[in-house]
Amino acid sequence: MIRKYLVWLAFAFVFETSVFASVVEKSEPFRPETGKFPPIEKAHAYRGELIFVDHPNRRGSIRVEGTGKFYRNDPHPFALLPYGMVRYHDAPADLRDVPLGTVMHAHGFLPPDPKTSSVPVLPPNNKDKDAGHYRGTGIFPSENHILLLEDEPSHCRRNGLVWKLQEVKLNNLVGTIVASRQPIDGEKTKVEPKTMTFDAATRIWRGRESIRISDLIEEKAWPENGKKDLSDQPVLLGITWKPAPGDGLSGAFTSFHVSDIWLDDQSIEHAAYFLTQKNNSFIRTRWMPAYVNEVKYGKFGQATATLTLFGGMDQALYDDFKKDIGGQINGAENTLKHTASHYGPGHMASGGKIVQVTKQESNIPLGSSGIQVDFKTDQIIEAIRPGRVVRIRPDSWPKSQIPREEYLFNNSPENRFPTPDIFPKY
Amino acid sequence: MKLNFARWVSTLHLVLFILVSNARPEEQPFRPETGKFPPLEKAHSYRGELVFVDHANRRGSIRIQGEGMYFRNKPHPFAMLPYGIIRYHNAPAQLRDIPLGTVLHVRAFLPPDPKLSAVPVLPINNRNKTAGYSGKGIAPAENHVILLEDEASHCLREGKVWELKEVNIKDGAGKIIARRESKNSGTKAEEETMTFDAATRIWRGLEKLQVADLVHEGTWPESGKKSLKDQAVLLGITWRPTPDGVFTRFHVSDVWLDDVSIQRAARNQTETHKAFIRSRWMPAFVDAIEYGKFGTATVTATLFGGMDDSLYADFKKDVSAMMNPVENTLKHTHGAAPAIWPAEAQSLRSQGSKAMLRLAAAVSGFDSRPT
Repeated sequence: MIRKYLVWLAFAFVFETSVFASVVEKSEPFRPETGKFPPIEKAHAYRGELIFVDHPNRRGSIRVEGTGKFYRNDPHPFALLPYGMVRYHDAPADLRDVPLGTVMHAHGFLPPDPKTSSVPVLPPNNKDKDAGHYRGTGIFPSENHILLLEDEPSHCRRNGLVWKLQEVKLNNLVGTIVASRQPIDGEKTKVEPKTMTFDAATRIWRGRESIRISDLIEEKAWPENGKKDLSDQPVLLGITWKPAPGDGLSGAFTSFHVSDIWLDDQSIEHAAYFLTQKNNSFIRTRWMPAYVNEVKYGKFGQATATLTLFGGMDQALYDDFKKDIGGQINGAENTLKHTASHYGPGHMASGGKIVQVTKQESNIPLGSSGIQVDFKTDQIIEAIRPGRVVRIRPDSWPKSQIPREEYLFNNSPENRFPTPDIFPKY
Repeated sequence: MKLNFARWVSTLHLVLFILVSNARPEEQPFRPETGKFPPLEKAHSYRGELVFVDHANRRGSIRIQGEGMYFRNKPHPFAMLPYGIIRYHNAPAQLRDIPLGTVLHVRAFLPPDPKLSAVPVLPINNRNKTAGYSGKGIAPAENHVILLEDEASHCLREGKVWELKEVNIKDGAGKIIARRESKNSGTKAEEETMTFDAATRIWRGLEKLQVADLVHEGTWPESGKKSLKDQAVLLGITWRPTPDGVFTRFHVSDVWLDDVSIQRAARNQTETHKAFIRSRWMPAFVDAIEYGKFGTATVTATLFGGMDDSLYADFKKDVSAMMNPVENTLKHTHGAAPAIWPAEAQSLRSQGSKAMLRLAAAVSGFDSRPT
């Protein structure tokens, strides 16, 4: 009897701990360690409209979708982690490339070091608090340090999803679309369809053509007036938000708006091409960001630094890092600002040679490229220390001057660690 | 002899007066009066790259093209005047519609009321001061903007086009030599060299093309130079860091090859802006108020300019309407429920750009001349 009871107790204990452990893992806020790439599974996911951008400091604000009236939600400040990735039109991007108003998917963590956070530090359980004033919960999570920020088509392509259009209803070039986000392949899943608005400004992309609602009407693909069944037509959508009609007491409070429709693969690949090229040019002039893993010091200022290049860039950029070519490393802050560049970032940087390039083949965490570079220099500068962020350039990238707000000068703590004071308190 | 001397002095005086009075609009900073629309001719003009936007307060920063090293120029804060107009792709726009990095043409004045300026108030002669290697002209005191427009809007408003002289290309990137010419002027403008790359968008009718498409079609060479024989186009202009010690060279982000392509871009932006104004309401100055009894009043307001005609056409005699006070930033004074506070209008009479509303209950904020 006692033996039976003990077995039952042990079973109950194992069951409870495993169930509660999984719940804790899901809801527990996660704080990344400096110098390590955190697992995306531990990030808190939310989405919202991009409201404000301070691109030199890689931060901004998002109106986060919660459980209440969307329009009342205060813009919520966020900062990109140094290795945080932005994707727009299914291509690598910088914050400055994303138009204000774009609805973005965010995967965020607690600030790695609250003392140096460039955005307000909030209580860890903030995402569960009711914000009051009809705003509901979830609108200001403390997980405001972002690993991945991506627009709707990037989110869908990364997860193998498409929007299946069920019905369009329009009158005078304005109307609503009923659609659900579904896996590209496989059976239709039971997802509640969303009703979104569109208007005459909605851009429709087909191959390399940019067309309008009126063109679809002219081609009889959509009706001039009334409803039409679209038979689960698979597309990608660009999503924004616009105020929905209503007087503040009644109306649709969280209805999103379709800014773009990509009708085929060629059209989104075309969009991705332009942004990829833009980002390649951007990184070649600003240099590749990386973590310093290790420094082996030699004599008279000589050293070999091992770096991990940050992830999410176009492969063409990583291909430029080859063994035995020359290059430069410059110190950078967590904002990825160069620590000096009054005569261009190359002026104060350590010059040297790439002596080894190592590629990790699997288990590469998001944020890392999985590429390690051993860089030998005759004159190591102060900023190249384990755990610090640096920027590296192979000699094949141009030497150029970067704009004033993207580098530090006469460094002060305020410049190195921007405070959250810029954000208005509503 | 005495008479000749007097005549000489008066002639000299006249010549000096003419010279000085001609120079004044160019040299004298102009401060608009609150509640009055200042003359565009008195505005200081400059251009630069949009670096920062605080769209909710209608302000931002621009890196202004001066005489020196462009990359060193600090972003220069500006604020839109309440009636300040923004144009993008030759259509009305809001600051939030303009991508960061776009090179914009600016027409601006001194702050109407320095005490209330949302951006730093600078010494009046600041545009003539030299800022190290940045040179002169990068931080004018004229930071209250009446007109902010992108290159395409600027060219179409002034009847200009870019005439492409030559393209020099290698690996899908290169340089274009072009001149911004008046369509009807016989004079030749100065040539500018600008960069382009594989991210440059080329618009032709409904199509969005890559540089590679032009190469594929044989319009542009795969490598080397080609004369483009003054091909007339519109350009979108940005700035990118330039190698080879070149400090101020702009970058072509877009090329519109024909009228259809820019008209389609304008239509799209116009529709975006119309939806914006319909949900945020038309801004206007209050000209006069005639008070009646028990809170009734008739307000005469001048609608601000620069919008699409279809928005103004919505203001018709005898339609009902609402009016809400706003700040100089055009923010509603109670945005959470604007429909509760404004007074219901019984009638509306349009007089050109003026609108008269008879209000059932005037609210605070409708003093003469606020927005």
